[in-house]
Amino acid sequence: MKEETVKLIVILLGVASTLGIYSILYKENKVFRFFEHMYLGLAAGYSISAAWNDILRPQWWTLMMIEGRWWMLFAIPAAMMFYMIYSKQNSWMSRLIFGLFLGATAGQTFQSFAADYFPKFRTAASKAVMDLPEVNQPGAYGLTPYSAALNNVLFMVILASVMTYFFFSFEQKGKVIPSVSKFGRYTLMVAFGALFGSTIMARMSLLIGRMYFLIHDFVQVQLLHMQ
Amino acid sequence: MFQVQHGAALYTYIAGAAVVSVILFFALTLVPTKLRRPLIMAVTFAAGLFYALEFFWPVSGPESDQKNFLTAYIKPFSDITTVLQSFALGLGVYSLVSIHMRKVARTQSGWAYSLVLIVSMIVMVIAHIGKEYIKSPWVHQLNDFAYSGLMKSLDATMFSIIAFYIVSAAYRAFRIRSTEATILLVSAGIIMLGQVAIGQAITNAIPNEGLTANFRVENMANWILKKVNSPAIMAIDFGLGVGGLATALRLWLSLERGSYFEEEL
Amino acid sequence: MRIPQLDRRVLYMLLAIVVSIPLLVNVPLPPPAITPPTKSFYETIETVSTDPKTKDKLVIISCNFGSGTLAENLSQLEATLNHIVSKRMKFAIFAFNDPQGRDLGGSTAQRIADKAGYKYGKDWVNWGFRPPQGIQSLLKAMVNDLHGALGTDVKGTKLSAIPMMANYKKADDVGLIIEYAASDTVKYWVQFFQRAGSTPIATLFCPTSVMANEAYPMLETGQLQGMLVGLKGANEFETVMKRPGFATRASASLSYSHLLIILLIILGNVGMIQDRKRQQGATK
Repeated sequence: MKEETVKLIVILLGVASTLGIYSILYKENKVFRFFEHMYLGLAAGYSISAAWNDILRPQWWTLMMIEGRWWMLFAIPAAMMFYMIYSKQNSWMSRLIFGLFLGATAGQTFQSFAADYFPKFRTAASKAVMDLPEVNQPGAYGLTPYSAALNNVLFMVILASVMTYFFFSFEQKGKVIPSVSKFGRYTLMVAFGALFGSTIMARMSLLIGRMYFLIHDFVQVQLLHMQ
Repeated sequence: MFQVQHGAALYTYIAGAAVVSVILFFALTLVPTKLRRPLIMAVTFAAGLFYALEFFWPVSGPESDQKNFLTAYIKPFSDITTVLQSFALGLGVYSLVSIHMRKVARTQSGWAYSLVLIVSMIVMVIAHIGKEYIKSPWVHQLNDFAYSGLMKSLDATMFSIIAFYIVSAAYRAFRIRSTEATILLVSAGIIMLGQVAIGQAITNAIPNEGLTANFRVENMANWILKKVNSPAIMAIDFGLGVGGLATALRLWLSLERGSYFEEEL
Repeated sequence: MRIPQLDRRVLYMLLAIVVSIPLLVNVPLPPPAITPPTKSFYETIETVSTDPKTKDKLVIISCNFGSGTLAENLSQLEATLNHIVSKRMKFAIFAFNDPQGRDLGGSTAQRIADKAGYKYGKDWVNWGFRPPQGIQSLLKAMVNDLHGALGTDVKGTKLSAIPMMANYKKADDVGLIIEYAASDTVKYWVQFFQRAGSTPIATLFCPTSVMANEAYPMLETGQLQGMLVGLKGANEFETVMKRPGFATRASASLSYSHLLIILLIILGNVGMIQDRKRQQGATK
């Protein structure tokens, strides 16, 4: 098949699948169900082929059969333990291999906690009131040392108040802690509003991408031969 | 013994390893019930101990290459766990296929869609794995149709359809019923206006210099993201991190309770 | 005047029209304001490409996105890769979170590299995909031995046999990392690679808009030197580069769709207030 024909078929399949999925917006229908199930099947097939192509073949099969590391065969009985979950008598063996992974992940958490959070703790705690490199940063509109200091103080106050809001180990009574916690809740609402605004932009961007594909790649380029 | 082999010796060793695997597997099935839980706890602890020990054991060497006696084994162990995780994919695939094959075999309601699912899965596997081994153009074309034509478009479309639901929710559900909701929507409004050109045009008349620039909507949005959103997200992150560490400790020491962990073995 | 209860399909149609019209006809729009994260992003690339200590070093283009977030991440990749090749910097494509990143990044890089006269193996390379489960140990191993840790490129050629890679063997030979992702995968570079060499490596992030919120703390703390936030960031970057692309074309649709959402939120709340007043009047 010619390359142009393959490209045309690829685009036609893309258009059909896009419009098929969008048909749910009108109402539940068989076309949507067809493409939905096709998507699930393709995604499952892709996961299987990616697991073989990108992991099992280079890191297991090639090492065992081509480089001669015969001991890699022991991965099979270890992996078979996962499938013992389907056996009533021997389902405990699946707990063994899951336990290995739980333990390994838990052990790695120490490392990733230190690598991820220690620098953040350090930087957040050292956000000095009068240490103001950001006065010279892009976006420092008319920033004076005092306004930058105020920003830093606000940063620390918001950090502390949000952490106070999430502190459930003791009852939050009195005047100070509940007020701080309430301030934390309000700043969380600002953060969630920002998250909401960002989410809208993300989803709209994806929709625009699809509409651009339909309008430009299909209608304008393929049908009307515009560039 | 653990030396690389080639040719007939390789197949002999693989056959031997297969026999040993069967024996070990069979031996494992004979483990008495009383010993099963301690064995699981021991394996969980040992797996975690390896990483924890590597992290806490003193290191030596140049600053860019600090290591201890366990550091060299991190990558091989990680590779083995990656391979085992890939084998575990079969659990999900088996579950998916068995449900849908049952529907097809019994011609239950919607069996045709289940057939579409299974056929699509087989086609993708043949195309995506086949293209690595078969030089024939039809396999590559099949891969183009299945991956580039269908999967990429379906993936992108599924993600993009949420935009329509957001519009519907914006009209029907986003209500200013409380102080918190008002703050959320005002913040969202500033961010939304601040990140698009038409919103930024509302405050274009304000000069982009000096203190007055802080009243331009894009600068207000940037300030909210950097000075309010940032510490709030950091605080949530800290909480998640500490909670994650506590949970990791409980899992490593097998202190976790629940229906899965207290199940009869 | 009473705000009517609109059928949701009318709302869907409204959105489709608002998004489509700017893609069909040229709708006038003021140029976007260039936000500080984008400015920093651009200035970091300019600095790295002109500083004698870093201009000959490798740029790692880490593509950890799939076809679900093509509109954002791919437009960011195209905009920034055009900048990188215009500065004649050598780069390596890499993916570890999603195998699609290797293919999407690789095909985009091939197209842009061919246009710029770049040769594979001499000016750019695709390291391929590595599984995410072992990324921590891989990045640590890459710090002192890129060739040994990565092994081969996407075509199966040993890195030590690729002409360009003779000059790049460890973290100190890397001048810039740019991560394109729909998740927080940049943290792996920051945690295990960025500061593991003798000097910190400039790290830039191109997340989707949703992930950008979680990355702002890293920008604030100096772990990241710049960020392009979603499609808007790509649009700003194209404006700075004076090289309009998909993001510039999409900016009008983005603007008007946002206005539509704000309008619908306002209308919905006005309707709620009207209903409340009517109910209060009825009870009186």
